[in-house]
Amino acid sequence: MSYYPFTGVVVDVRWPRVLTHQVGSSQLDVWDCGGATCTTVGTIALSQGTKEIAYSRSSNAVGVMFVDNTVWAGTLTYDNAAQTWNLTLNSTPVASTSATYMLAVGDYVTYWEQQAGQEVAYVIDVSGTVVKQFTYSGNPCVIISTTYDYSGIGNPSIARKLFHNNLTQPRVNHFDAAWNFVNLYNWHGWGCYRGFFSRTATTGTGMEGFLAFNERVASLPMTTVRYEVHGDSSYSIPRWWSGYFPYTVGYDATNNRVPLINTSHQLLVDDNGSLVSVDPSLGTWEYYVTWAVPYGSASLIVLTMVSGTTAQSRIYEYAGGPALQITSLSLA
Amino acid sequence: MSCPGTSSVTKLPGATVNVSADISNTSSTAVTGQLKIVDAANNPVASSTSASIGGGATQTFTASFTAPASAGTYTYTAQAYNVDNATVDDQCNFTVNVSTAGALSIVSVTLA
Repeated sequence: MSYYPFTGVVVDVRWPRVLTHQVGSSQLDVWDCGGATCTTVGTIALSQGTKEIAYSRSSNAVGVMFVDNTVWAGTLTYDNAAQTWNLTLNSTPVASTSATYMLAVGDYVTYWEQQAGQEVAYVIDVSGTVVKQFTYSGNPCVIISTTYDYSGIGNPSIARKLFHNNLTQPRVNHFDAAWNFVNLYNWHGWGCYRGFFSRTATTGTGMEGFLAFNERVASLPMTTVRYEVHGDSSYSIPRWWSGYFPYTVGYDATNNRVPLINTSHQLLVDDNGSLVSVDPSLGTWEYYVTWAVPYGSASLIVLTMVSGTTAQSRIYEYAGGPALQITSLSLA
Repeated sequence: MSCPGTSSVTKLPGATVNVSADISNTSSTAVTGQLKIVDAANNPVASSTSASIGGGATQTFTASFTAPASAGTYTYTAQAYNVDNATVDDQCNFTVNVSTAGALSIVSVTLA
């Protein structure tokens, strides 16, 4: 597959426009990929160097973590007519001095930090208000938490879920719309989540919900992760895959496509469980983050490679599985 | 996986093996296809000319190669090669039985 190269981490894609961020930079770069290559056509200024940006396309919620570890909440919207992004951050940051990681899914941004040996995870809304806070002690793992709107899927009375690593066992907390605790599921006996993706699937072969995540196995190197794609609301039985791969996996819920990285640092794309395409040209970067967005009947697969504070990204156009089939053969 | 249709043929040593394959394009857009034949060691032995196959269409490709000089059973793989993506989209195996049995025939008999 051919790809479009970028410097930095891809924040959003509204093809042919792409928004990227270079770790430590004080701006977001807007790219135009109308041709065979992409060129920068604009920037969005940030007040200071930025470590990380978390963005939820479904609700425009955005969180920005600056180099001083302050977290800012706001919205990032896209103007289709003008083909521009508009970033609006609140006038004051969310108080934080040691935020380490962020994630945005659904209506909220989550981040977490260490305070006096404890992991503290926060859920904030777009105004920066902390709507939920969790504190865990004795947990050696990085907590990765996010919200996921399951309303209308599975149990419609449960509007929100928070996935996190509670003490020594990953768990799923369920909340109602007012953030009242409803239930909690134990989830596997694995180690830490290193990355997490969740999407609502409305198409496909009877799939009701979707979860895909990476799990770090505590006794194995950081480059070994486990991921599963859950295609139903049971939260325990992977519908499609479960296995060990280095690095990470993304998902295009509309087209039911799952890109992942295999042990040879190849980009693999799958529709329903079988590997169909590889890109042997990928290098051996330390860490990958990949996700996917619908692109007509195809997918745009975003692969971001991070090494230290340097990042580069590629966007692949993936039109589907193998196109050619041998339907008949004759020998003479 | 065995090929749909004929999956084996018997040939004399050094004879020509003619392969004809119908390749269909299951996508909605045109794809440039080619038939490739590789031996059991994945070495290419023959390939057809490439041609564009319209979305949903089927096209016949032909390729020929020379059967081995020694008697035996040889496995080959027919590949539907996607020229646009540089990928093998589909493949199947067939065998060539090289035999000298039946190689001799009585051309004429003279009685005196």
